[in-house]
Amino acid sequence: MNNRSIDKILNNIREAFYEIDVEINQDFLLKLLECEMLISDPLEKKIDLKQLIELEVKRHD
Amino acid sequence: MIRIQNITFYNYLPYYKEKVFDLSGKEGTTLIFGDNNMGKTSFINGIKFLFYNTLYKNPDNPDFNIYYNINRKAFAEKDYMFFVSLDFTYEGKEYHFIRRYRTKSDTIGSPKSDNDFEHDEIIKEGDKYFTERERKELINRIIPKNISEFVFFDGENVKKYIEILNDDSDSGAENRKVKEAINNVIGTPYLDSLINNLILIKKEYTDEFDHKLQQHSKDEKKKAEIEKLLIELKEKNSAKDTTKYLLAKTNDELNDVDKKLSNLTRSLSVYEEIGKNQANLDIENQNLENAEKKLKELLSTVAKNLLYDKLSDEKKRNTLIIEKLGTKINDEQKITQEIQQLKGLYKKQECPLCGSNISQDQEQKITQKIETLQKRKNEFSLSNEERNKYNLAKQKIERIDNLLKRGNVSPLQRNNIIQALLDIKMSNSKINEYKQKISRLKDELKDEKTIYDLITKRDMLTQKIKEYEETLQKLEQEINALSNKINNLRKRIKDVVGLDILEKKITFIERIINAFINIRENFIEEMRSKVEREANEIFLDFVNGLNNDIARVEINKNYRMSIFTRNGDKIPVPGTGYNTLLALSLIYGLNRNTHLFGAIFFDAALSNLSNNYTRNVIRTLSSYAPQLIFLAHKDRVDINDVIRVLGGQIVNQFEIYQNGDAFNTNIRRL
Repeated sequence: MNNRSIDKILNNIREAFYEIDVEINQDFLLKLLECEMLISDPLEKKIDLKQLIELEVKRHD
Repeated sequence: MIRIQNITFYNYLPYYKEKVFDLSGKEGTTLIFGDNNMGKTSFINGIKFLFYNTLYKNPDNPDFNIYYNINRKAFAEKDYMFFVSLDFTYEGKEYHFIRRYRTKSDTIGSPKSDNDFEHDEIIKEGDKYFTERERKELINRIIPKNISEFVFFDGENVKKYIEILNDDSDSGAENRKVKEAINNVIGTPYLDSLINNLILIKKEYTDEFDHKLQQHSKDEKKKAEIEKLLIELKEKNSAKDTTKYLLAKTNDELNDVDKKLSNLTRSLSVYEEIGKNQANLDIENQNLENAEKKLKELLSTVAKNLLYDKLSDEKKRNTLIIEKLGTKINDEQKITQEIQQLKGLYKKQECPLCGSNISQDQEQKITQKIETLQKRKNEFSLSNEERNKYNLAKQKIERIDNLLKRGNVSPLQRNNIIQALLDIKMSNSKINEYKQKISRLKDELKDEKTIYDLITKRDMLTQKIKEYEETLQKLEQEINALSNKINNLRKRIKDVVGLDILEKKITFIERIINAFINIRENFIEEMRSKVEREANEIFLDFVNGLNNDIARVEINKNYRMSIFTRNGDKIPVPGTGYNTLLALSLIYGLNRNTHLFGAIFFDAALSNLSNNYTRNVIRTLSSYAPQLIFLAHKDRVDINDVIRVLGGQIVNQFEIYQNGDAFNTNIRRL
């Protein structure tokens, strides 16, 4: 999946964000999504997702 | 975006030796047409073979599928190599891609199975050869297999879409496959995968939380256990101190007793002597018992012999009595006879000697003599007692004689009995001696009664000390075991921290998951709506000028499409031709709203469309795709009409044909 394809899907999904009312930072949600799409190695992906989540939890604290 | 420069087939299916489609030049539509069985489907399948290594299956021999893919003519000529290659540009870079099968160098004769072939997959960018991983990534980036349905519009794929249009359920393998492909091209799997990953991460947090909680609970249990053990340890230590104190006290008491006993040495020796004498007395009593037993046994066997001796003695004694009394009886009898004679004389009055009459004087003398004899007779006469004694003795002798006739005692038996009697006598003597000694010794100890108490006390104290020592040893062991247990438990306490942070993470990730579940739902609906909009637009283009009653098309959540008239009526069962148009509209809608944008291979069967509709379709697709490779059946599509409709959009035209040889398709550029 090339960057242009990812951008296209991301844009489509991003549009779906605005329709829902979540009390979570949308940039953070998009970062998770980007991480999911850009990293192909499952283990590496999970580690990165975890890091993002933990950073966000810390930030809230 | 992929832009194909040229496609080469070598011994692939009907393409004998090398056949090249040169597509370089301007972007636009490439028209490839030919009759049935000339190689249009093989063209599309050749591209699929190149990208995904898909081989036709050999129904006759599953071990030799290659035989169904290699050109038969070449095979007969022993040219066992076949390949498909592609030169293309992608994201501004030029690539050469080839997939090739050829016989292994060690294959002897004609190949018999797939194992006789080696397979090459080569991708080059300039001079750079891609690694296996790089090749896989590139293929997946250009046309992922799971969305290839949107690039290769062959009859089969369009048919699948038509099926979905007629089936509003979620069932059916093909249905699911197409829906899956739609979801893939939309990008829903990214959301699904993200949600799954988040669920996995949440599970990790939850597992960690549960583990820590469990650990925490275990720690609490351990702490409680340690408290309990410490109380037990304290009790044991206290018991140990008490026992130690009691042991020391008892040892002191024992020392005192020993001191007192050491002052009573003589008494001890007397006591020992009494013990010895008592032991001897016991032995002697036993000896006596044995001797008496032995005597009893001897007497029982030699009783008769013993009686013999006694009877002999008794006979002698009675014989003496008879002899003594017999003499007296004889004397009395003699005197009686003499008196009788004298009395006879007196009666005859004659002299016995001379026969003359006796004188008075003589008569007087005789009377006197009789009187004297009578007196003497009285002297010798036995008293009644003596007579009874005499008679009894006579009877005894007679009975003894009878008894003595029955047996006699041997000297050996006699000696044994005598010896036994002597032993008894000796034992009795010794017993008396020991008894006297013991009595004498006890008399000596009359004033030393405390020694018994001391010895008893000593025994009691020694026993107590032994018990205390055993108790102490047991307590020591128990204390050690308890201490070890406490230490082990302390070591195993983890002192869990971070439970609250984990709880926060879990709560947060749950919110994220829920957010993405909502986003996914929203996204799918948004995409459906967008696809519907684009599909509606192109469908109206397809029917433009041909059916002005069509107002719109709708796509439901299962991607089933419906056609509505201007009056708002839904066409219940669209015809086959309209279904083809709907399928193409759906594909178009999906392409417009997704990342797919580039070369399209179009091998759709358009036989169920009239020329006007076909014209509209070709025109619309050509205007959409930057590079459309349109494969047309010469007898079903009016090629001249297509050329006329598309005009300048056609940049390449090829005719594929065969000259009576089913395994040799030729290409002619027009």
